[in-house]
Amino acid sequence: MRTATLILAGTVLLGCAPRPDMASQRAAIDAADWAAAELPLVVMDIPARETSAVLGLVGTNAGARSWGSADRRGITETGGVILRSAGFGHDLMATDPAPVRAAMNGGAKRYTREFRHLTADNQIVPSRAQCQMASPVTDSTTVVGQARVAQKWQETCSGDAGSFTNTYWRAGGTTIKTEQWLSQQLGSVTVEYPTD
Amino acid sequence: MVKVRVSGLLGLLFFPAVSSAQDLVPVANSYGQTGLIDMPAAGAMPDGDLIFSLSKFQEEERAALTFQITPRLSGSFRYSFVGAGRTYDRAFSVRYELLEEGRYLPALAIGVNDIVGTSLYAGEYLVASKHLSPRLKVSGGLGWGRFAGVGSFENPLGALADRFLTRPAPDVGLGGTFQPQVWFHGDAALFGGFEWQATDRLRLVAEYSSDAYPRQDGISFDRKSPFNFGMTYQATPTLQLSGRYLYGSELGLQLTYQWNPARRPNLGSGLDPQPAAVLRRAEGAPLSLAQGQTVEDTVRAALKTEGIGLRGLSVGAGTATVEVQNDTYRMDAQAIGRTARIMSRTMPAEVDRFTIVASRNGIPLTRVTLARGDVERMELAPDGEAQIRAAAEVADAWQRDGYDLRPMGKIALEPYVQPSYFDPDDPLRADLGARLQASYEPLPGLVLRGSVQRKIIGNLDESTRVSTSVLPRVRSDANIYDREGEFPITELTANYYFRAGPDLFGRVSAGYLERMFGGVQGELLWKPQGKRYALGATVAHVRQRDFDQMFGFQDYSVTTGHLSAYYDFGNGYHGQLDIGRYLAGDKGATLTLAREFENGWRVSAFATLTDVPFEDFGEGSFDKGIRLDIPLEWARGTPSRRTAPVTLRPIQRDGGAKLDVSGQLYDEIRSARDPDLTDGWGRFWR
Repeated sequence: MRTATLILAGTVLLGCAPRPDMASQRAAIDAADWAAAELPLVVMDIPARETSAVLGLVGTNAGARSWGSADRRGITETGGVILRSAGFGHDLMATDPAPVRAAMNGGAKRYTREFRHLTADNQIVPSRAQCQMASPVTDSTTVVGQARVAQKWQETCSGDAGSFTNTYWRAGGTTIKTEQWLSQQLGSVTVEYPTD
Repeated sequence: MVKVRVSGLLGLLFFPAVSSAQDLVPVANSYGQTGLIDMPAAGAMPDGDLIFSLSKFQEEERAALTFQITPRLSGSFRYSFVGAGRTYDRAFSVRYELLEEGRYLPALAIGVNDIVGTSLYAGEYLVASKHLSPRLKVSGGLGWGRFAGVGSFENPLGALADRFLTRPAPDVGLGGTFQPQVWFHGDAALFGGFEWQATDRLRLVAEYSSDAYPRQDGISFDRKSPFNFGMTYQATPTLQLSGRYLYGSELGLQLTYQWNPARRPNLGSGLDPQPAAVLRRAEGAPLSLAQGQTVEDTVRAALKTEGIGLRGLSVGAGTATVEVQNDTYRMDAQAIGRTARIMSRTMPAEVDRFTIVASRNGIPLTRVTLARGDVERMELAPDGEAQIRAAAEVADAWQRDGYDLRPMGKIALEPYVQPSYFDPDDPLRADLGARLQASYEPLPGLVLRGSVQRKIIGNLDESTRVSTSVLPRVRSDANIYDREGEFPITELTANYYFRAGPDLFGRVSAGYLERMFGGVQGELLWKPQGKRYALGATVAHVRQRDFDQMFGFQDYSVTTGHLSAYYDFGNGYHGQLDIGRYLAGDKGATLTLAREFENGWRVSAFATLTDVPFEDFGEGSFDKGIRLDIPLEWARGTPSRRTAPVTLRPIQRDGGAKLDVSGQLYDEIRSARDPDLTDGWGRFWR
């Protein structure tokens, strides 16, 4: 019940307001509320849509987790790498997470990524980007208003769809926060993992 | 006659290039086509663009809709108010881009204005455009007809044949016919101008116009100079505003709205709700076989949240089959993908093959069989949609087995807009009201449909024009139907849809088929799976309905029907040829050519020639027009199969008129049949 309220509150309070001060609104949700959540939750900011949402876990497939809001918008990610988004327009349809995960686990730091998007005319358009993963640095960040210390991995990419930087904050072997590019029109979104 | 050296034009054609950059995108002139102000320029609009323009100066008003049909071919329909004479004029124009601009060569275009019309604006041109710098473009052309009003000289085409030297008077008659004997004939004249992109949003234009405005000069305005000056401001990515100083005496304005159906700046691929995640058997606990009945209830409820209706279900040894009706997603592949997701979450673990039958109106159309393991593995694969299409077995589904169909019904109350265009007394009229529509399928394939509407506000009833038609008044009394239909039953039918064999579909409809006719109609369609062609036949016996559109009939009855051939040329181009007998008893053929976008936008042109002589047909000589089908989904972002049709006919007469029956087979079934099904496969995991 409390979880449903959180999702609803997140969607309504954070989603409908014209971005007054999302950080303070989010801080108003007590840390105890996140701890008491009955299912895993993430908080997502989509600056291009001036929207934030609390997303609940709606499914898993071979380690990839799908997160969805009460109004059925959401993302699917694996190990913090977003594979797909839905319900925002100009969504990401697919990407291969393997080179990113490899780079964070001792593999090649320079690699090619492919992103697939669906056009308004229903065509799948692949775009490629050359990416480089920087060595991690220790960083202080916040997750739903709570201060956290994490390893910050920064990935800079440049390709058909422009240049962008993705950031992955990891602590204790899991991703606690990311900022990732979805598409040219949506730009980057931030995902925070308060319940992992 | 003023003699001008043609070498001036040739000099322009081979203008030395200062820059090869081509930064100035074409803008619409007052005729809605690539141009300067009144004069044309060369250069294609972006492929597939639609341009709606409204221009006005003094009493001259023009509304034009232009479509870039192919990368080089464009067409326009224009409706103009001609101040002098106070008449309305309808005209079609076409142009073709002969050359793209190169480093040294200019862009080159040829065009014919008023290709079928009253010839009021008839004119032909050959025009070249070349950038002198990335921000400066010069255009110059040679014009005939309207474009040879000022500074004209002997037609250079006279060198080819003497007949080009004189322009015969067009045999306009009742209007609406081709006049090729006039095109590029008679004296010619030069025109041209400059476009300078002053800022990213502002363009300044100066032109020398060779249009003498022979009907208007001295009557509705004074043409004092051939020079026009204007500016065009790009207010938004789709909206341009233009202001002009014309012919040394007049100010003019133009509003241009230009958009591309293939693009949707804000909504992209749409706001489709997030689909249910695929559940791997190893990770979850789908229901077990023992709970047979519960499986169906669970599947039905889950599909309902996706906007998909469950028609039937069977779970056998290793295979589960569901038959679904998709009333939500334009692409049936998306409905099939969502159904596969639901099956992964609900089917017993023993099931390792999913068969999904896409049906519509109770008839099974296509059977898609998927290995459950593929669904599990490919959901999030980087090229998952291509992988699952390669792995899927797609086949005709003409027989069903192992399950019964459940009844389905729906009811909707919604607003409607019914427009009427081009009545000379009032070119745009419309009614706005509420429409109650219901359909119910008590038995597989038997669909009962009804629709009543009630006008809330509007002025269609103000039309008092009396039909002058010498043919049976099968359409030209439309304004009486508008006036007298207070609570019209626009449809009340019983329809039986059936599969007559492999790749063969059938329909019989009886009742009040459309607002002007009732009776019985039969249809057969052969559409082989995966083929680009289809053949169909319809036959109907109908009687004309009373003007109040209640239950009564008038005396006129007719047997009408057509043989139809459909062809998908690829890349979105489609053709349809109907040959048969029309509502007024006339015999002939209708050719329809369309360009479709994968998101449901469709722009088509049609023309019907029958054995009705042009003089009996009346104004316009034969039936023709253009039609836009606008998907509601495109505008609002959320999934919908509905489209809003807009048909623009210069004039609706009685010759070449067809029955307008809803639920005809070709459009009902094809999105679930290949090649359309696979064309939409990019949305399988969407």
